[in-house]
Amino acid sequence: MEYLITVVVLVYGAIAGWFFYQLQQQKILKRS
Amino acid sequence: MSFFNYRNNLIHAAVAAALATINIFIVLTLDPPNLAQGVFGNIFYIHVPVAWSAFLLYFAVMVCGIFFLTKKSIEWDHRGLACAEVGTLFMFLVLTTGPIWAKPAWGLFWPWEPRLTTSLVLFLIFLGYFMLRQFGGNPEQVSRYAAVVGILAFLDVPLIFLSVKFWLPEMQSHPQVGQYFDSVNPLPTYLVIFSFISLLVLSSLMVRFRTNILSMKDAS
Amino acid sequence: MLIHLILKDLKIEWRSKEIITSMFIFGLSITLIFALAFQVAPGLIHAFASGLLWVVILFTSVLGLNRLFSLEREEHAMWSWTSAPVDRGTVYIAKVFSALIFVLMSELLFIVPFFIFLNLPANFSFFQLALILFLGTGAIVSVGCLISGITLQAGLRDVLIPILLFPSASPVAIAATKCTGFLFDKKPLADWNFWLLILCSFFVVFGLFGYLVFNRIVEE
Repeated sequence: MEYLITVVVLVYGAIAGWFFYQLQQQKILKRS
Repeated sequence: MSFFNYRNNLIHAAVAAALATINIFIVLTLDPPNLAQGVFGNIFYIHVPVAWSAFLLYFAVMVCGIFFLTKKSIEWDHRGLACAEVGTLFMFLVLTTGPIWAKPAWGLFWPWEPRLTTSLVLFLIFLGYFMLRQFGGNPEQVSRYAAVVGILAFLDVPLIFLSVKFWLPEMQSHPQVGQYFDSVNPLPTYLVIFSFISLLVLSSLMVRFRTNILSMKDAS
Repeated sequence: MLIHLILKDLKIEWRSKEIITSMFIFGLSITLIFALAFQVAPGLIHAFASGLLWVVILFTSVLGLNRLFSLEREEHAMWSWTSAPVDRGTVYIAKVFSALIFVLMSELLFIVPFFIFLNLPANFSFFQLALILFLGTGAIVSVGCLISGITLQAGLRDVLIPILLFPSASPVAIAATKCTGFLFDKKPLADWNFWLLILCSFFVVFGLFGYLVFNRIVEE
């Protein structure tokens, strides 16, 4: 069961992190 | 304008989030199909759809590359780069969840299985793709070079897969995988297809978002 | 026109002989390192000999391709054939054949020390060995010339060529090693037809792709 949680957190956490990073990029681009 | 200020994109994002939540629910709570892997079988509903999406994205890189080389519109280059980035992210997830699945299920961290090995080789080619993007020189030339490498990478896929498949006779694709597509109990098949669709929606959102940002970056 | 382009490269090389000698000496050095690292136990080394041979060939091809294309870069020699009325695809094919000839010649030079240092019995058909070397090297060089053309302008050219070449040429590594392995075990040709076919397809696919795409790579 721990493996499943690890995998879910890994996959969807990485995707969520990607979105946050892109939103940050967007904010930087907007400002310039 | 911000990407998420448009209504279409918000709807896309909402659908993606909803499908992803249902997918997580399926993986964590549903009873796994009755296989030797016990409670662990549900990982199939994440690992395999992510792998399929990654390959589809790399195929999209090839298509964008072809369109960029023939139509010469910079939009295709941005789309190609976005697909490559998201595809490489997904492939990285495949390569990390693969061993996490393999060790408890089959005892090896890295079974030199055809599909996993093809994923690794493709991942390495795209690492080279990103190095080329970064250090390749003049930006317009780099776009063309990257398009060629993107096409080259996917042209290589059938050859890589065939070679690895017959390379080690004992390492065939793990037979238990076929049981998920059993016609007697169609539920696992439906679940895998649902997971794949949810990831398709999510990855298309990611690609469109990233393309938007790349176009903005290019315009500034 | 193709013949002239090939002869041009051969003539340049004949004057200085730098590419073939450097590849030969580099191949010898790698063979030495392998012999030392694998502690040339006679029984053990036979199992790995076929793989080692192709590792050596891959590394020396990278060297050779790098040198072959740097000739074009110096003095902006590339501009002479971008302005000449030559189809760029033909230039690519000429480069493939020149590189094939250079690598084959250096292979023929270092394969004798390779067999001597690793104490390998040479009781197999030399014609079949020549066939494998020809097809394998052709496959490596077809992708290699494409990648060298792409990275010609790049700052990190020396590093980018192996980074892009090795994953893309992994089917060649697998197929050629299998062929040589079967050859050393004195299996009949019919057993390893499949792997020769893989090498041929690799050469055809990437040769064709390079021919079609090279004019988009080299335009200013």
